[in-house]
Amino acid sequence: MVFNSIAFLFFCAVVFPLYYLFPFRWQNYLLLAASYFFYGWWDWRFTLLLFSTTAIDYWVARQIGRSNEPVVRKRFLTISIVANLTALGTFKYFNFFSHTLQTSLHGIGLSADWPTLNIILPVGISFYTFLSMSYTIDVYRREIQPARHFSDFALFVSYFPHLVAGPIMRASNLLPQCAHPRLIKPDEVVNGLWMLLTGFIKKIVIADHLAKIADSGFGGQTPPVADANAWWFVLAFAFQIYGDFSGYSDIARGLAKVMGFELMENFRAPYLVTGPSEFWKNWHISLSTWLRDYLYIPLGGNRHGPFKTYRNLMVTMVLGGLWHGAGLAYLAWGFYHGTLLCLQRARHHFFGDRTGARRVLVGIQVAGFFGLTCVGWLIFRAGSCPPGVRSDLLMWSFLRAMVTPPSSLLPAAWTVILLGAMALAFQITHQKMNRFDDWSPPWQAMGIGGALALLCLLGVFEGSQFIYFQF
Amino acid sequence: MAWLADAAGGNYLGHWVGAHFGGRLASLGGSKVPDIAEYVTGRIREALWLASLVWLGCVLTGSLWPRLAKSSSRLTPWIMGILLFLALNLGCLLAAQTALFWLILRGTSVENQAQFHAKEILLREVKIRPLLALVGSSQSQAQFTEEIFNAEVKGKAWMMELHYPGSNASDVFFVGERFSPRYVSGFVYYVSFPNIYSKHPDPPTGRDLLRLRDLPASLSLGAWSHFNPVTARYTALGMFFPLFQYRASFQHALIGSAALEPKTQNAPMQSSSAIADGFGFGPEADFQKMAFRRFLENSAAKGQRVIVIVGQMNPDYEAQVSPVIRQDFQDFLRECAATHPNLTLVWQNELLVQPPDAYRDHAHVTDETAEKFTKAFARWYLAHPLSPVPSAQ
Repeated sequence: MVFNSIAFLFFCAVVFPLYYLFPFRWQNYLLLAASYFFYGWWDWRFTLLLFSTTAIDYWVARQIGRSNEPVVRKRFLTISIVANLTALGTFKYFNFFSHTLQTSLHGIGLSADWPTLNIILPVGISFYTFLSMSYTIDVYRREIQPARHFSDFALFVSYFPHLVAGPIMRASNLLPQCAHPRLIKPDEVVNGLWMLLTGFIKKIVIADHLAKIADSGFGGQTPPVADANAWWFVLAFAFQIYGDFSGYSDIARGLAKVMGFELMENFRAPYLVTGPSEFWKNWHISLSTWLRDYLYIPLGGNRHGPFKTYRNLMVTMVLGGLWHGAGLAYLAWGFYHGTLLCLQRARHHFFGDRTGARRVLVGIQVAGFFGLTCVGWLIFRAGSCPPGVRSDLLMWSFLRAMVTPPSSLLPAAWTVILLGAMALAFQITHQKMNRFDDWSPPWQAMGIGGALALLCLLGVFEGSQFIYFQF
Repeated sequence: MAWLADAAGGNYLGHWVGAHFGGRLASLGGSKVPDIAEYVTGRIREALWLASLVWLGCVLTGSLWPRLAKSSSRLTPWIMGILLFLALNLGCLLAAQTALFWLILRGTSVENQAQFHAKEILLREVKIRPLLALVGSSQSQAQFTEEIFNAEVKGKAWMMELHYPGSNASDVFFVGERFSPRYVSGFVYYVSFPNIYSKHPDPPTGRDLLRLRDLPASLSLGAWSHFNPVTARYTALGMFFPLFQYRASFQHALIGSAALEPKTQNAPMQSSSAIADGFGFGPEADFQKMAFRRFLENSAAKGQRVIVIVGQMNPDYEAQVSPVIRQDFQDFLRECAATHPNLTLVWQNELLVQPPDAYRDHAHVTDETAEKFTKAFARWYLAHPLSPVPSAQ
């Protein structure tokens, strides 16, 4: 079930009134049942996998919590990590690695034919396996206590607003909210409803319109234009993915706020930053902090000299790229961002932090880094090109076209400029958008009326999927 | 003030502007207006009407702002926000009564909804009678060139294109409901078998044009059960919220979405099996036949004539379709002509034989063919001018 569907409207019409009527414990049961129904709407068999992941990690965490023996604790943690990564590997990566290995063996003259798994990718599997895995790691690190009630933990994993596309919440934050009665604050309800409106604007006004342009640009073996107008397709995708994913996060956070939950902020102003480390502090924050806390720092972070720091950065970003999808383009995208982070660190290492210079040239730096971000998105988008299209060739065609002087302006440029400006406006005002309750009442009324009108006028009402569901 | 100024000198100003800038201004209306001065005067009045609406909106907002600023209730801004949204819908509905609103939205390129509404309003300014409304799908529009027809009949009639791309017989029923006999004396409808026998019709007029006042007619026709679920939902929403119904025109004007859409009028020929599978008998065809009969009945009740040209598709395309369907199509129209005195059938071959090379795709003829066809129809019309409907005499 997607948020921008009529089915979800009916779902909310049933769940929300009951939620407000029920006492705390029953609220949890209701949300748990609703979340499984929400997830099973795609395919009921997905719920079995979700339940298995939940049950294993609940049991493992209880065992870790009961024991003081380091060996026993580590053994149970290993069970959790192996179970989660096995599920993820089987459903998401098996075919990719199998195909890559076959191709590699074929390249050196060896024949290797084994069947690929004919399975569909459960929606949002990367999100909830990471979420669940982080819980057992936190229990192992003694940062949190194991959940007392299975239903609380199951709700933490499956809570429908964040289930399929995040934010990837931490148990230390969300589990207590599941385990204790929520206080529904009127100001937060107001903020939540506003987030729902802005989330839908980002999704069905910005992302879905730009998707038409991006899809037309990446639909063949070469871009539709052979000059710098190819930039418009890349820009369209850059703003589409921002609108799509941050729109989803806003809707998720808005829904949660209306129920008295608080989900973490996932996006700030990612296209208004001057470098890659700032980008990752503003883009998909819940994933970048997850990778930092559970991968980069355990690998050693920046504590063991420059070489190991670069290695750790690269490993983290390459695996982060692979998290997004099973494909060489996602690996390349991770590698690209890893390289940018290493270069930024090297620059700081050799030339120091030129804060004064940055202030003068901040506009140029923002524009320059946005260009680099777009090149990253080109690599990323080429990874999900249609069957029969070679993503590497498509990418190179785009890069060649992007440096060729244009003869005229693409008609779609106006659409990209207008909707891109709207996306940037959301980024510039993201702090104000988060605190709608601080607006004066007339501006609140104007905002609500204007947002509803904008949705009606410029919305694409085709119930399209969110990009990050596939991850 | 604006209205007083218009009352004092609006007509004079309209005629003066029409005389000096008529040619350029008329191009906004597609060079398809019979009286430039009337056209310009009409647009000036509409501009005043639109300005009045904006002024009224500003005054209301200005007067409510300080009161709202003092409000401490969290609910008040939401109520006012929703009221503002409803007011914007109302304002949009009122603005949509002007051709200028639609002409601005349409801009210099074609957008079906804006084009249709603009012409629907502009036809009220045409003084020439009888006034013929050309209805049907894009095929109707491709067959005729209204300027040629209007020039050929030399003031003995006036034709206005009010086709809607993708229309089936049920769409023509809804379009027919919109025009009173005060303005439209008769309809010209180029109909071919896909208008009735398409297995999966997607009624565009329901989605884009149906008003709240069309609800009884659409219910009595049983149209809702023939809309696909998405169309039905969007039609219902559009009936209540004009901003939603007009979104295609706004999107075209604001973000140019139409520029991205594939051109429908040069659709490539499908495979034989796809063509054959696309048409047939069944509940959809029965519904379209019933809608067509209702269109004839309602037109007769209003005293409006219906001239149906029994048309064809590209012969290469038609050859893929079962001859039984084509025969049933012709028999159905003959039966309608026998039972509905306001219906006049004109057979394609009476006007012009159209071989495959007369077409630029499976349905739409070339400009050259359209010119020949229109002239042939004009000759036919001059020989058979509209007479009053027998039952309405």
